[in-house]
Amino acid sequence: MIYLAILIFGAILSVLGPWWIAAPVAFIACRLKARNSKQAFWNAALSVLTLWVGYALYTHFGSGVNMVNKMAGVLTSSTDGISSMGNIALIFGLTALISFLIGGMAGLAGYKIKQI
Amino acid sequence: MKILRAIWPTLLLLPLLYLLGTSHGSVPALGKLFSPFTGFWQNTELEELREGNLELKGLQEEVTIKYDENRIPHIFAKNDADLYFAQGYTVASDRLWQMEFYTLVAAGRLTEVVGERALAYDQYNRRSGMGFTAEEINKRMDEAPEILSYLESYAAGVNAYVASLSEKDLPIEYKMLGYSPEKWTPKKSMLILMNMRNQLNGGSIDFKMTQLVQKYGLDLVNELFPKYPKNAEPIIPNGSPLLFEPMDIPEVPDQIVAFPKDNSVAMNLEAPRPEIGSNNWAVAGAKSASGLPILSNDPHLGLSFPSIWYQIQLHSPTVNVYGSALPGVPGVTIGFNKDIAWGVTNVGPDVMDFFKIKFKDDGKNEYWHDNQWKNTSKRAETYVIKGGETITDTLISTHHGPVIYFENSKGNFNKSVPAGYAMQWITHDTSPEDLNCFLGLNKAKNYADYREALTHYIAPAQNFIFASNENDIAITPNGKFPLKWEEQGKFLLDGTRTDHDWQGYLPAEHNPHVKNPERGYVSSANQSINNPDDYPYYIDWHSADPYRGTQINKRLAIMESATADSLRSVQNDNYSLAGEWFLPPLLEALNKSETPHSEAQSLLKGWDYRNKANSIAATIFETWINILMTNIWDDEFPLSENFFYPREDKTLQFILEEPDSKWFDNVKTKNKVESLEDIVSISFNETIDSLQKTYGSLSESWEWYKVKQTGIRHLIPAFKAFSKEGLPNGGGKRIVNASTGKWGPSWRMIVELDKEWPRAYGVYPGGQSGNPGSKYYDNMVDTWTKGQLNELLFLKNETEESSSILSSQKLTPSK
Repeated sequence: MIYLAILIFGAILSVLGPWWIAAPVAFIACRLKARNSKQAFWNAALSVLTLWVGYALYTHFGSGVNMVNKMAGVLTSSTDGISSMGNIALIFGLTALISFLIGGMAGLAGYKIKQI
Repeated sequence: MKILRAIWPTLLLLPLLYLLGTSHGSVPALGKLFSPFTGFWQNTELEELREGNLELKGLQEEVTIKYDENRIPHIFAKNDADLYFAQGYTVASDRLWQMEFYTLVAAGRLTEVVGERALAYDQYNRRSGMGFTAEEINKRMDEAPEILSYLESYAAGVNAYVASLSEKDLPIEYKMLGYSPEKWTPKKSMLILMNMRNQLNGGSIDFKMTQLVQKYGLDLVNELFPKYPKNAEPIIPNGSPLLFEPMDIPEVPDQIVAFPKDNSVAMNLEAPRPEIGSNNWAVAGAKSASGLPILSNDPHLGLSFPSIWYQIQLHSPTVNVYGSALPGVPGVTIGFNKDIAWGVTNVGPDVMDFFKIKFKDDGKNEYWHDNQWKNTSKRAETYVIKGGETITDTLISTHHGPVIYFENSKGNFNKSVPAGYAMQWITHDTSPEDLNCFLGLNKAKNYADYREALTHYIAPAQNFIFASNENDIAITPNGKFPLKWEEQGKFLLDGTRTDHDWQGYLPAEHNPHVKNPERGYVSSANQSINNPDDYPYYIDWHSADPYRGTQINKRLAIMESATADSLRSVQNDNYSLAGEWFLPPLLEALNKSETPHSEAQSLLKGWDYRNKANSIAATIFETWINILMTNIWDDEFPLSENFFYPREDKTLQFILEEPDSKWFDNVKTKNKVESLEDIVSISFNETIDSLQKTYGSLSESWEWYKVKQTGIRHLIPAFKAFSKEGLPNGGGKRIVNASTGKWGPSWRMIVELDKEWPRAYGVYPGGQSGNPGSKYYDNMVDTWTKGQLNELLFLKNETEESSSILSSQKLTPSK
């Protein structure tokens, strides 16, 4: 429920809003519906991760240009990054990590703030 | 305590979002950058076709843009204002970051986006006055109301695009470096032109030459560095008649050099850039299959992503032109229309001079000139460093121009600029008319229009080549040239003397020129302009080595029934005249020495003198001649001490005519006098050693393209992954096909003129899009590498159908 709510509202608002908009969505969803810290953190983290990585996968497979290799190259100061699997791990890994962190922290923060 | 337990995750969340949303030094804002909704993922182009209807404020009437298979826009507008508006809009939608980046370079504002490491570079660019000049031109723009209106329309088009952008739409470089585009203005278009002036007419070897005179005396320097090389084939054919009555030439004064006070502080200098050169030529109808002229041009510039050029067709009731445009500037720079075609190569005239200034005191408020103290002018420049800090700098100018450096220091960006000297540079000219040259060529119908257009041009001086369907061909080394005494400014000048001042300017009609020469072709490859016997004025003493020019002329002289394809084969000509000239005497010298016969030697003996991509002999020869030049000259003229070698053709003259010359001796070896044979054999052995060291023993890894390493690199050097390197092509710096490591033909074009409709071919190493996430970023590179050309689609009008048009877009005025 929380997972789906964040996913749907997060998707709609992300198209319009700033890059961090999924965080307040997760915060509010958990403020309203979460029953414990663990549930808040994991639902929010996985939901924002799904949203980000899902959309990233869509652009990755929808384009004729491999941006993952190019970005991995830029990040590792090389012409073509680590290796094609390594690049995917690096770029999708970072996308996943960042979305997981901000989603999880925002969900937890939303739940905890109830305790005031 | 309870409250803290409730809010600690929020207290962690907020700084986390802040940290991920801002850039820190060279680390970009990772959250923003990796968000698939705003970051780099958004630059992955999913829909590459441009279609539909855009409503834009500022348009007067509807504009149609057709995009072909290389996503080259063909713009059809109902008036000129809309035409340049649409050009601005279209170019910005592909190249916004690049355009703005060039303006930041020319205005000396790079520190604002990359931080303090760009400060020395910015300081040089500001002190040398490009930004200031762009501002002054802008102030005078009302003298050229037509150009101003085009520039304003263009700017409005760029700004209409900028206004449509949100964070996710920004070019990826803005996202990585963490800034956003500014509004475009006519002044920024001028900054782009300043950047070209600097790239093409911005160097000087006056300081180096002066040091040579200091060490070796004027006579020897003039002998080793002659104004006119012995085997020159000048751009204006020998014996061409003078078409005007020359002005009086100023007399050469008793003193022609002003030596620096303290030579000991001269520092490590970068070598000059011989790679900036270009080829163009046109064959007359008598030499072509169609009976009408064919024109070819390939300007050699630093190869970069995004590409230097942007292909475009511009159509309105007053003009229909196709060609390559500079992003940021209205109109077409190199191209053709129904009746004519034109192209450019660099002249490289002596238009940057340095004058030794005698200040009254350390306040530097007055300087001595014409037997009196004159006031300097001072201007404050403020640099904003990324992050907000500011640094101010006071700029001091004399009537010559700005003093760039007051002391020699390692931090000086441009080390061929002497301290305490004022710079006079054609780039400081503030005439607002410059663009009328290109805009005039865009609309020109014949030779007379071409000549008229050229009179407006200031800088960077170019060899403007021309061909028309009235069967005229012509070439004009053209720009605003100062009137000078013979070789004035070959060395550093004396800022106190009036006879060292620039003495005025040549009228445009006095620029060198030739029309329909008997030999049936015109050509240029940055060689000497004229035989001094044929032309009264001094324009420059220094020119490119004769290889490219001579080889092009050799090919054109015997050409009959030429087609675009015959000209294309000249563009891709890999023949090494250097090899043909140097190799036989070098191999002979090598035979006389004790050097053991080797596989490398037999490869050289069997070499066809072609710098083909996979030639190993080419690698050995090119390496050998570089090492040979160093071994012959670096003992007397060390590059590391700011000296300069005599040219290769001068060196060849010694090898052939004075094999016992003292220059072959290495003065650093005390008890030995080296002969030509010694130097040749030492150099050969060093060549083999150095190749073995880098590429292993002689094998495929010595192939020329693997050693030459031609690459196209992103303007931000750190973005290696946005570059393309190791392209498998032939060529070289001594070759007509002038692809070197970082330089090469930045646009190749061939136009077959025709009474009905011209046929044209072209390609540049890159793609229309500046976005690394687009397939149009580099889609033309392979064609370029193979030496092939695309047929250029030049539509007669908006209604002409073509199977190459993939999509069409309408821009309509918004209500």
